[in-house]
Amino acid sequence: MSATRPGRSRPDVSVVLISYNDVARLPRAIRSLQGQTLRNIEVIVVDDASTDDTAAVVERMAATDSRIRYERLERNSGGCSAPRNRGIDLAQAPWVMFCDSDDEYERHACKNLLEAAERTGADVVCGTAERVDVRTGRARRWRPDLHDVERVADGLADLPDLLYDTISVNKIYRRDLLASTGVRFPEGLLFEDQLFTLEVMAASPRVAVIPETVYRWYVDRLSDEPSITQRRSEAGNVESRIEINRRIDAFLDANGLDRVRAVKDLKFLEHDLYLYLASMLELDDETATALMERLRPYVAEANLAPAWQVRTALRVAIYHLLVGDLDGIRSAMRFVKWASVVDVPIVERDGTELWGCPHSESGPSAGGVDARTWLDVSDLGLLRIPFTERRYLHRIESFEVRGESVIATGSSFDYDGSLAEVAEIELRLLINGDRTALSVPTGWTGWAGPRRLWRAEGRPSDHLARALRERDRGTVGIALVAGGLTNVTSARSAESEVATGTLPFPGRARWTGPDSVQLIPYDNGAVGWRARRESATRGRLDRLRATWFRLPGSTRLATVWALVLRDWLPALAAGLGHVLPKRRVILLEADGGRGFSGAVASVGRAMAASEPGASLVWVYRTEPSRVPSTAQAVERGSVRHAWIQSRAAVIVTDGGQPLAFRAPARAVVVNAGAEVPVHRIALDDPSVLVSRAAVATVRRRAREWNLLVAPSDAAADVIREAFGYHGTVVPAGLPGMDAALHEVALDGRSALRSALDLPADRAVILHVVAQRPEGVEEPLIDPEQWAGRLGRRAYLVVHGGPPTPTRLRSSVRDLAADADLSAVIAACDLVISDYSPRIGDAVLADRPVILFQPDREMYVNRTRGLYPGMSAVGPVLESPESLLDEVARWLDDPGAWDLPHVQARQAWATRWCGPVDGLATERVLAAVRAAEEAR
Amino acid sequence: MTAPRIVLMANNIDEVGGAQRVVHVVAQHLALRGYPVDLVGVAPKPPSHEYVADPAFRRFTLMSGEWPAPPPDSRLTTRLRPSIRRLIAARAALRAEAIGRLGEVLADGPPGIVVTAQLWAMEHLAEVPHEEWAVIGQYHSSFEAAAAGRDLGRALDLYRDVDRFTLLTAEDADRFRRRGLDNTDWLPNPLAFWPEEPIDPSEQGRTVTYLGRLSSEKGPRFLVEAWGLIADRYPDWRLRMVGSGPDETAVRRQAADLAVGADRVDFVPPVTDAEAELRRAGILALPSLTEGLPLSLAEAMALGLPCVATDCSAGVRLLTRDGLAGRLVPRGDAGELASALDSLMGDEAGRSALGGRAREAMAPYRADLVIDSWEALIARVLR
Repeated sequence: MSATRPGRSRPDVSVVLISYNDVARLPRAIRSLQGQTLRNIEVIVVDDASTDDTAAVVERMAATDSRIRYERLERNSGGCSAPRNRGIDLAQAPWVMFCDSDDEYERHACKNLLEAAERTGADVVCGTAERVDVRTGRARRWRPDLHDVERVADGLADLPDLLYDTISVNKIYRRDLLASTGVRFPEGLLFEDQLFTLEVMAASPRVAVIPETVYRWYVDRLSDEPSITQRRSEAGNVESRIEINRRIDAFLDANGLDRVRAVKDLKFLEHDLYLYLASMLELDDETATALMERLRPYVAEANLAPAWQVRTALRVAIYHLLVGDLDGIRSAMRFVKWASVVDVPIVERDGTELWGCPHSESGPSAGGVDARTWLDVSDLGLLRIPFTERRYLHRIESFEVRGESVIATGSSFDYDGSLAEVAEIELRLLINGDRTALSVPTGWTGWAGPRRLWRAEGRPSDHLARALRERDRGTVGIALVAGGLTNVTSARSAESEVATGTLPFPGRARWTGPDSVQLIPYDNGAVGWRARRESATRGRLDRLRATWFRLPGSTRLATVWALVLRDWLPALAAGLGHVLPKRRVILLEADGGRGFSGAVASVGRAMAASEPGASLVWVYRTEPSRVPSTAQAVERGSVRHAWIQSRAAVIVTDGGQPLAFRAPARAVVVNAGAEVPVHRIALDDPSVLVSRAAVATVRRRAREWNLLVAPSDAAADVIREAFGYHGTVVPAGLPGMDAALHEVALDGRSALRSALDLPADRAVILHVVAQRPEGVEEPLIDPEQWAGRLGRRAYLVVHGGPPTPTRLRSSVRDLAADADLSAVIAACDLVISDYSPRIGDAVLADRPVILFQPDREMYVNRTRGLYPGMSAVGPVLESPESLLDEVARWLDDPGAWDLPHVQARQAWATRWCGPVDGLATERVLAAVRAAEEAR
Repeated sequence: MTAPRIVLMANNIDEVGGAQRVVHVVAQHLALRGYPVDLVGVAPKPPSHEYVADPAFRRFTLMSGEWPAPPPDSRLTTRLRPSIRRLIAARAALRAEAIGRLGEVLADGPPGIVVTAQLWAMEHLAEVPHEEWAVIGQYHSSFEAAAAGRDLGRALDLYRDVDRFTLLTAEDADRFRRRGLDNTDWLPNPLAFWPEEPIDPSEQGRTVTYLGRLSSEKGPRFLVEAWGLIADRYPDWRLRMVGSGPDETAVRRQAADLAVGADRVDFVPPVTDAEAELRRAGILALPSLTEGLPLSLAEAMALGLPCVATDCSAGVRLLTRDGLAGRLVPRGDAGELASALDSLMGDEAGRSALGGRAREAMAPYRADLVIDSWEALIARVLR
């Protein structure tokens, strides 16, 4: 942007930019200030007596931009405080901001903060900072909860959570206020920001928060030289931290800010202390003990009441700090840092679950509270977690590669005596935390106290080698098999034990896949693996080929189409159908090649079963390893796909087939994916109607179907209209639910429950969330709130939404986005949903339904819209509190609760879901046969 | 400080349309307040409509010829056809011409502020060096409309670095901000005129009027469908469809096929005097699926006409004050639209009360007030 305009006397904002020997990054920071959309600023570069050519660089930039001033401290201060204080003294503008030489301002930072200050009359305005990983360039908002919406408050006491906003660089300060109160950065201490921001905010009559990002904070997590504030093992670091906290305490007490003090005490435990306790996992014993002894006195005299507000395992770690037990701290922090793995016995005493360390029986009390209370971890529910959801601590002790074979040994911690019943164990290379890429034969070898020992030896199996082409990295895990259920947990290891591990890649797929697999230790003790492709014998051409094949199939095909094929491949495939003999191939596609279950699978399976010799082929988009092993896999959009398609006798889709798809001559194309119409679909969905292209897409797809499976006659009318489809319709029911309904009818609900590892002692509630369009947030149940209030009485299974923290696994389970919901729907006791078509499945299975629709007005009016009459299946609730109340009422007496809803639900089922006989697939089959004969 | 130069850019400044009217009104008012204003259209679109009788600003059109429609598709076989190759070359030449010409316009006076009212205009500005200029980018439709098509991605790219990016409502500004833009702001469009005389409710006609293009995103088919549901109950009412567009034939056919009320649907070509048309109306219906801050709705409300609109954008919510100053119905739902119309058609007192609230709600959109906000925005941008 343009330089300063002449004739301006006083700048609007003074930016104090501090720097010490950072000539490499300083110009970036200065340029970000020169590029501000607020032009009338001054930039005061305060040089903490650098010994590089900082002075020359700044002066060169100042020569072409009169807004830049340069100031040099006489001698190095060793911190940030002195240079910033000097900058405050020199500032001329009524507003002051701070910047560090290794960071950047967002382009609109000064203007957004200044305008907010002027608009709200605040003396301090806080914006959002984003942390930018210097290696990946990825940016994440820092503490987004603090700056989510614009807020104005009269003083810190109104917004005590701003205590967590401890950095000084994301704010603008009224200079008069700094001058009149004399607030300065404390010199000679680290964490100077914390005291400064606290004192300023406490002194400000009015504080404001804006949601805009203002600061780009560059972070190098892997740097050899961590920044001074991150060297937590050093004495000066801890002492600074404690001193700053003492000063903050004194300041708050002196000013009578009791409410803020309470928040601060909590913050110290859950944030400051947490960082030091976590660092003890990586420090050697001596350093860690020293650190522990430095922290103890302050923690012992601190207000410990908030310890019952922090997460349970952290509280356990705090107890061990108070009694000076380093191993105890580490155990508890492993649980916190390593996604809730347990490495102490969990014991049950008088109805409570205790953290089974040496202190649990008769340990000393601390802070006036006895050991048992400190160590009561009942709320984690570790003994109640279903087997497949448990987090065992598996340690790899050694790992060795000999030729093509692997030899590894390790142990698994048996925290509650359950491991004795586990028959099988297997070392696996995992993709996405649960799917297996490779596995090594493994067996139990004995016990060492509560640890059960195992040994893996042999050639990795290559039956899932194709997985390695999709994603070339993952983690190493251990699978435990007991009673038909499998538990998979990532394995942990000390760095040295796996650093050299390189697995030879099994032979068969070496040409298309990688050469070998290398193991990588992660910071958190987990072991990662990465496929290696750089072999010296292969030339550049090979790498190019590998790159080409690593592209998604659709990209590859698009490239080829752009060159030659695009115009005639689909037509050719359809045309070939006339000429080529039909084979008994049944081609299946669901969710655009991402799904392999539901109605399509059900129909496919039944057809293959009724016709020996027919082969089943699934279309996949990126992950062939997820194709069921009984079927072949073909990549969506590949030439082979076109070839198979042209010869297939029956094609079953859920209506989302590729746009270029043309029904091959003489084939029957079945759309088996129609669900009960709850929210508006296709041409009834206003957002589709907005775009001519989307309308054309819907119509074009519908033209290719020969047979549409609809749940009921009423649903068929809606669906026909919505797609502009005029062909044959079978009102068959919901084929995807058949298998689950059969299982419930034959073996009962509890058998299905145990097959899915759902608890038998509690109610199981499924929450299914309908997908929203891009940019619209899904309203979800807060899992913490749920676990706290209903976790002991009900087990929540969630489909859709962000992952639930692992520590809540005793009461909440996440289902993968592509999981087959049908069985869970049939097995659960209650379904909560908003607008998902799965409501139809639930009603068909005669499950009670609660409609949780916090965004109902928005959804109905603007997001998507509902078909009329969709609320008749259960009560509609719009607030999270009322939902929990309703669920509690249901839990009190499910039968009585459901009475008023049964009749309406059954009427709804008859009208929309079709027959409840579990024979939907049979009806589809008959219709397909009839259609085939008619051809 | 002397008033800075303002260059106001739109895709075209000739056509009869909402965006064009807005830029003319803004240009004229700013010019009359002493700003040197240049109004720039990227492409000509004859015949040129005169919005302002006596313009106090300069007008430029960057391209010498009309912007031709793109090739029907991007297949290789299509692109190799000689006629298509000529078309592609002609488009490239026009674009180069526009970019060169824009450079000349910017150089023809001191640097100041460029306002790009539409994305396509910004795409041209982005190709011209303009470091000396401050830029205000605008988007005249809702976030939902942007997200439904390609506009969202374009706006996020083009407007990330401009001095201010203004939307029509606070809600839209917030939703763009949540997608990562930190320069969003909002500024409503001004009314072209403020009728001193509101409609006299006792003399109001008995027609449900539709005023706009007959194209799918404006939803005329839902209105016709809704009419079919209630026409038999109001034999003295008529449905008046004013406008033309790509769906005209389809909508006419749909109206002709109605079981009841088909004989009371009138199709009228677009009119230049919207006010006269609105003064004859009984109710204005806006069945759109997507909108920004719809001017036809604002003008009807300013006249005191009761309106029924779909709840399709933050702009519609803002104008109708969440349904207090105009009836809101879910979009794409003929049944709801019919029952809203039904309740108004059968309640004359209710119509006149709603009309009164509507006129009251429009006072903040009077041009002089909105131009005050413009001046404040200009001052803030130049700081």
